[in-house]
Amino acid sequence: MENATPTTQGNWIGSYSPPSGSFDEFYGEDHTPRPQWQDLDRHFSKIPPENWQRRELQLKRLIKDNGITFNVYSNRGSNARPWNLDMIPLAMSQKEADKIESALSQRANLLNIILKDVYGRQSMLQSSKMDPHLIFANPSFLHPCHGLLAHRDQHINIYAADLLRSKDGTWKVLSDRVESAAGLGYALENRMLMSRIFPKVLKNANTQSLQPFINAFCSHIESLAKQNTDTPNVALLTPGPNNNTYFEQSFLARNLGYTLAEGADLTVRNNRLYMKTIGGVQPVDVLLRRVHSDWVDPLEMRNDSLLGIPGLINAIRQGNLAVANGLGSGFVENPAMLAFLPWYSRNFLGENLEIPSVSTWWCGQEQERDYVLSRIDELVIKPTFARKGAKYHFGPLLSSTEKSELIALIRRFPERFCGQEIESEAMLPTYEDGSVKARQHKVRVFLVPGPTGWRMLPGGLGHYYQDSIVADQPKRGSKDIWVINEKSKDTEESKPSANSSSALSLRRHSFDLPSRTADNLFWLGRYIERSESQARLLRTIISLLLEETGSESHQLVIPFIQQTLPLDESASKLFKDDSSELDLTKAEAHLSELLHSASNTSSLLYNLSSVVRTASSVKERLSIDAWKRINHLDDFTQIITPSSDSIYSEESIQFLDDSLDLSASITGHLTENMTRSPGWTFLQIGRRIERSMTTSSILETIFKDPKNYQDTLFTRFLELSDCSITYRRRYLNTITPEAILDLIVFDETNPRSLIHQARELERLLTNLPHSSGRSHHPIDQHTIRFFSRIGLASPGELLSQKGEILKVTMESFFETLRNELSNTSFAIEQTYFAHTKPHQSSTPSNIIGQ
Amino acid sequence: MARYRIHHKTSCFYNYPVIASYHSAKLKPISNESQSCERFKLKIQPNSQDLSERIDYFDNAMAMFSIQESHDKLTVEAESIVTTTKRAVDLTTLDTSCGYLRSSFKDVTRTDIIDAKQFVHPTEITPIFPEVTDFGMRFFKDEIPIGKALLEILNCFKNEFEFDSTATEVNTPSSEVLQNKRGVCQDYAHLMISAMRACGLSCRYASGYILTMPPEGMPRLIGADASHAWVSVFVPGIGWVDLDPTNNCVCADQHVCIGYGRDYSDVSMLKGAVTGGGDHQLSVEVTMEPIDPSQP
Repeated sequence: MENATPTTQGNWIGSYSPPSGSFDEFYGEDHTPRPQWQDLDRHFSKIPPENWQRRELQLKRLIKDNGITFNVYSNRGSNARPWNLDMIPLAMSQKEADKIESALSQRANLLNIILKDVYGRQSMLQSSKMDPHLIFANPSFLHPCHGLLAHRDQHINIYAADLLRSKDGTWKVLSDRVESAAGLGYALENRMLMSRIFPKVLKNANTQSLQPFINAFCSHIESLAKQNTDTPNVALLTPGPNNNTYFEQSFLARNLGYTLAEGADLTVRNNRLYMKTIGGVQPVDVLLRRVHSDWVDPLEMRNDSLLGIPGLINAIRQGNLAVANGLGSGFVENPAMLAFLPWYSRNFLGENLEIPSVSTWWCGQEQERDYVLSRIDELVIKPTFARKGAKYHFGPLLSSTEKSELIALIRRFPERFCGQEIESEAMLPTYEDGSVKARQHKVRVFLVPGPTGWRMLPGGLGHYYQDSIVADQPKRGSKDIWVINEKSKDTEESKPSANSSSALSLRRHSFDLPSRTADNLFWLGRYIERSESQARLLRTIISLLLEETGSESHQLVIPFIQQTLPLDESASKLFKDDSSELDLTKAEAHLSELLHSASNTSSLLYNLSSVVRTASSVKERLSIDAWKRINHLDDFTQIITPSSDSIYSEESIQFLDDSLDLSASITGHLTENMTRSPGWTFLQIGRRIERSMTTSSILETIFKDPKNYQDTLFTRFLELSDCSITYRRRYLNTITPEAILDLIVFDETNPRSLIHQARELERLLTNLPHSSGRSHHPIDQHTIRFFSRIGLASPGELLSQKGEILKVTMESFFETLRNELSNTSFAIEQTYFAHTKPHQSSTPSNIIGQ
Repeated sequence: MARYRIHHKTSCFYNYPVIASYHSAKLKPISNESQSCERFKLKIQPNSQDLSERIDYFDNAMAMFSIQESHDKLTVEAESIVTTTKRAVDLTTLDTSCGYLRSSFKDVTRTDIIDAKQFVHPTEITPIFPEVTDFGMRFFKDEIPIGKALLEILNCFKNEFEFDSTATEVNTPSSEVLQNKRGVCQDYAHLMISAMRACGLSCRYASGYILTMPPEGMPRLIGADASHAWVSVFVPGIGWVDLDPTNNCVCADQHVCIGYGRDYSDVSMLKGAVTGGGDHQLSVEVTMEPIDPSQP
């Protein structure tokens, strides 16, 4: 229980006791903190234990509020897990960082040369030391990439390496990451978080800033553009919100100032890549890629890919596009490469590797295979090439049957396996539940090439584990890495601020709003408005049913219930047989489904989930506050289970109230705190169109039948429309159909009126690109018709008819309005979103044979 | 020696309009030491603005194009004139033993046969199935000369298999073809490739055409031919030997080859990625007619 005692002031490291026999990051041989930790130790000691706890809470809240997540695949729609960052950073001395940088520069150069060779001359095949199996049978060797020359032969433009420290303190490379080099976004995000919870410590400990690296990275990426332009257009290609590291991709894009794009945002025309935006298509010069090479082009790579862009590879081939990292870079990531890297180094560089890999043997060679088999109890067996479903076998964990099966498999297909040393890993202190514990860790570091050679991020992404990584267990949490400049302690004050990403400049703004994003924002606006009005309607209905009993009041509720049904369905399907009375059992079942059925696409729950879904796909466009509310809504919809609860239960009423509160506060945040960009415009247009549709539809239901012209019903209707106060102020307690119709259709000063929606819509549409054209665009034609239909009518005129003619008049008036609204909506979709449709692949098979 | 005019027209009818489409076509007959493509014309409708040609990793000609206008029908017409001087290799003269061949492909120091080594490995379409391995080992035993083994496997296809265009689909695995002993030329080729590779031998997939004889007394029908597939086996010292397991013969001047690859997917004649379109129907017309070798 010693470990559970809280740290005390002056002794934050308190109970930290790393096991003997392993390398410890914090304590040196003499059991005093290593030099790079001394400043940190001093600063951390000043923080009283209760402040540690407070900061931990602050950190958790920051992570939640910023929506920092990684995705875990599951069958439930929403699968984001909160990010986990430990409060204690990993300190690394400048000297050590410099040494790693220099060693990894050699390695990055070597990997780049290997890629250049395999996708070019293939001189490696001429050597009798290189088994061609490692190239020809390698699924990461992508034939269409052969001859795709990278700009200045730079295939690797961002290089990441996973390092671990062995017992004697030397660093070793566990794996090289060049296919997508994930994690830079998380590293920046971690630094941003640390700078929020330990701003002073970060600064006073003389921690290197990440900003210069980011600047170097951006200028390198921009230098790849093949077109001669000062401001090349760069996009970050993401697999989309379901990818496990989508958060960091969108964070990275935002912080580098590049547009985040999915395959559907891009198109190839005339062998040039373009972004589809609301202003038309705009050329892309450089694509920063987070989609695996296999999936980038359904024409030349996997034809079942929906993540890619057909024709992309030919655009690169024709010299019209640079992609980072180069396609096919995954070739150097296979475990077998680790076994051959020393050979490549001697062969291509004439040098020995400066930083060793974790020892690895390829069983395709007889001697190596025998060696691996003789030590199978101690090694981890990995597949030579990463294949679907291929597992790691940890020797120490194998049962005797598993072992003999594995041995038989290795003997049958030796070339498919590699054996690798299991390194014991260095320990470091982590803060968990009020005490400091010792955990094993590994780190991911990042390098970019530049005019003066490779440059390493003075930081990185650390990971620590529950016990040991032997069992391949899940990561427990991440760590920020602080590179401490010990020498310049005296010049502390003159150092640039270490706060990195919050200070990142957002200097680029090159593309117009991507069409797909506009589409999602438009629908986000519609879903929010829809949820809000639906929650109001259901609340009205339930309270009507609650308050009164007897058939009379049920007559009152029928028009509102009619409103919950599709246009072509009549409320009479919920009546008792052969009567015009509501069958309560049927109605309640119907309403219950409308409340919380997850499968019914017109339920409130479904609409709320749609808000979350569309918002998630435009997350990077939303303010943090708005995103916080979306997060709450997500949590909220997750806990609603389709229950058999009565619609009158407390839970149901609470559900409605919460839905209303949440959607109102989201609307508030989106309306108030979002920049008045074209994106905002689309969101507002969506809201206005949805509101107009709902309003005109309920007006029609009520006004087409004089039976409904009753004070009690009108009162409810005014409440539902949020117009009771306005009405009372103007008309006191006299309720007349004319006054109501006037207030809700024709009164421009009432923000809930139809004419007000029309005015707003008209105003919003002038912000869109089409309005700069001279002639009237179809979008405007429909809104003008909507407008003039209202303008040409008056409450008196509409209500002057009786009986059947009244019904027809009302129906035709509101139907015209609704039609013009849907036509407007359709015209907007056609003009701005239509080219966002996904593609499909076809491989006509025309072999019949003879 | 023979000379042919080949007309190959593929039409694709879409149920809904296609907004944009991207295609690659491998339809141009290869030119090598025994075959020469004298003329080649590719006609695409609707018009493409960006037709380009490249040579792929396996030295096959590949046309790439996109169509950026709305269309509900695509036709790709390839017309070529080809002269072939290919002669059938006498399999009985190939006396290298299968065992020796196998060890050559495994031998890291044999960099002279590096090109053949890339066709030794299983692919996604031609994976290793135990029963296919057993089937291969019936023929390619260590001590058997490769020529004899090839003759026997061709005989086996002739005697034990039945051509059946309804038995398989594009993705039918070779283990199933082996079990049912039915299929089309592509299935025969993939099965033979899988079997040989499972036995450590080098074998590649060939795509092209074969001359058909109209029934006696009948004129040659236009568009009644079809594209064809066979295999090509590497024997050190001799080179690549083309064999047609569907017709149980060694290829000579009645076969015209478009290209070679590891399997069908490397030489697929027409590929596409389309936006819109829904389902599509396909119609293919091939005419291969001998022409006078001296005619200009």
